[in-house]
Amino acid sequence: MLVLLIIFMITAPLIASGFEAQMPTGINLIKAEEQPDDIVLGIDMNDSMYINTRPIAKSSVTARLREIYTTEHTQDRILYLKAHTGLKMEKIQEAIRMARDAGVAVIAAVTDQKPLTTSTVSTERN
Amino acid sequence: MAMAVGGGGGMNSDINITPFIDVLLVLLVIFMITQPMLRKVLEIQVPKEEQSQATTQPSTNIVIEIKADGSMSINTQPVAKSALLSRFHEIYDVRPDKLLFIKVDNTRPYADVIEVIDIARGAGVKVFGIAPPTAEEAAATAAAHS
Repeated sequence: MLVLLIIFMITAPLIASGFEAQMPTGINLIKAEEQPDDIVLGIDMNDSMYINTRPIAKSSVTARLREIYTTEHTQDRILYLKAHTGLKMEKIQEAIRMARDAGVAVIAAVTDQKPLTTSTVSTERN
Repeated sequence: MAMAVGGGGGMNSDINITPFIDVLLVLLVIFMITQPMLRKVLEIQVPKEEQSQATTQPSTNIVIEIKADGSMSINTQPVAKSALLSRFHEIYDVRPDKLLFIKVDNTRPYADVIEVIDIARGAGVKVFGIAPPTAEEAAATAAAHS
């Protein structure tokens, strides 16, 4: 029974979210615990875009983000960017431009901790 | 399990491990739930519209450039990737403003930029900006797409 429960717990998030990408790795990262109301822009290896794991057409990303940042997140205009590690910078620049057009102030690039490393500097937000 | 049956009382000296397994499984489940909540980020400032216009006055900003072939230079001085950390320490240990601009060729992978930001954060840099592509670069990208 418990084994079944665990198997379902592992597979459920994979089935629920259509978004999958490998994050780049780094050492000196900032801790940013997930909040339910965070806005996450995902870009997978095929250059498809997702907002909070929901697929969205590239042409409507700016409009959707602007809608979000004018109604809900007007104070801390922070966008979490989950982009595939091997993407070319032109795709990222494009995403940054879209974010800027939508009024985003800070982009937080979600990064995985390199295995067996710990940060050499403070991991707190400044 | 059939050992240690001494005397008529049937004393069993085996430790009952079932509750331990129960506790361990509960802990496992708790860690599995909390693990996706832990997230790490690197923050990048988004340039404001009016700032992206080039200023002609010489600036004192530190700009690292990543070229198409992967070579790097800090304020036009070439620097090897292995020497980046020490170079950043040299620069930022004496600078009060912990600010770094990154100018990157459009064909470089995203991981390169993250790596540079990561190294710079290790040297104490606090604020990062990515230079938007110049007008001709943007035009070249647009032409490649059409």
